[in-house]
Amino acid sequence: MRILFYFILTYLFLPVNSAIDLLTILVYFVVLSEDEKFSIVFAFFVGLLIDLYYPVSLGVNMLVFLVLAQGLVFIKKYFVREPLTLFMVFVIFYFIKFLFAHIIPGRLVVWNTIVCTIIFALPVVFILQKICFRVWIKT
Amino acid sequence: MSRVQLLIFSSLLIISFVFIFLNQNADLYLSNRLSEVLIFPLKLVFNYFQYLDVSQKKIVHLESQISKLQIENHTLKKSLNLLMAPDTITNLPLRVLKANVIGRDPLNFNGFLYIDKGYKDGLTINGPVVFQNKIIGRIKSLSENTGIVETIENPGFALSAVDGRSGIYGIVKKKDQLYFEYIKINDDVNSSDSIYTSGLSENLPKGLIIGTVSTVKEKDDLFFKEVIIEPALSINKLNYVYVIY
Repeated sequence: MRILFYFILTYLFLPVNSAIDLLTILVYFVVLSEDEKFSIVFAFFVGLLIDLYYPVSLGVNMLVFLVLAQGLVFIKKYFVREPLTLFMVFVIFYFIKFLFAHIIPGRLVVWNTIVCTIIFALPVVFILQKICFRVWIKT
Repeated sequence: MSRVQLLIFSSLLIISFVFIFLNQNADLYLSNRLSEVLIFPLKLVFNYFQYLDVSQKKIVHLESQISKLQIENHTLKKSLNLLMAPDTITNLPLRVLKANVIGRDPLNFNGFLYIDKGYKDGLTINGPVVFQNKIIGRIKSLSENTGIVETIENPGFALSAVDGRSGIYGIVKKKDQLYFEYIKINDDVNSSDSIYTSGLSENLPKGLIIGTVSTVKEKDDLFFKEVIIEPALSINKLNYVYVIY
């Protein structure tokens, strides 16, 4: 049921992703909360959808999300799930994603999107936690 | 990392690189094919909303046309029956604008309607406000984007009117009820006669339905009849109107 929910959210978030990068937040949440194999496949799928919906260069987002998800899978065992750490990890996660998916391919940098994404990241993660696991923070 | 996980990761990594290093034609072809499948649910939803939007615009356009045609049709019918002078047909202003009712006066609920069109849309003070071919009132005041309509239900509202059957002219005035005034004792006005605008009031076109005569009584002064009209429409049911301008 949760898996279906993630896919529905992916389609809901896709049209507004240029205003707030909700899909990155969703991938971050899924990687932290779900099974490792599923997380990687899901991150790849989200990257594919972004590449198809905002077509600039097919494959870039797939690759970036895939590698980032795998990286996060590696390190997620080593940090404590408390708000500040979650936030710091997200900022690093988002910065790397932004660097490889926007700045290096030479895409337009929209500062509003970056600021909104960083501001909304933790609240969205907490809300997703609450919906999926009935707790605000899953430790 | 387990072997399965490594296998999945490697496969997806290879696929990503293949996508990145594809030539432009293959890239385009693949994007189109994949979009048809993966973006299909979104396209379906967007198309549906687009369809609703287009339908809504068509409905507004058709309603506006119906309103215009009903007014024109009604006036033409009347002129064929020679109940009204035919020279006014060509004078009918036929530009009609739909306006949504966005508020009402709480102290006089049916007396004043607030609409979402103003002088920016080309409306003018005293412009007639109708619904289909029935008169609602006239514009009392205007701001840039909104307007206030004084309706025939507002006490004191008066307009020149004519009996559609006998052609007797009088004044329709709202008091406690809607009265058709200055009807002489020997004038031919009966119950169930339809009363229309006469075209003599400023800006109000001829032939719009005001209502139907519900009661005819002789007054104590023995000179005029008391004629009460049942309005043709319930103003409290309206959520949009048409302004002729």
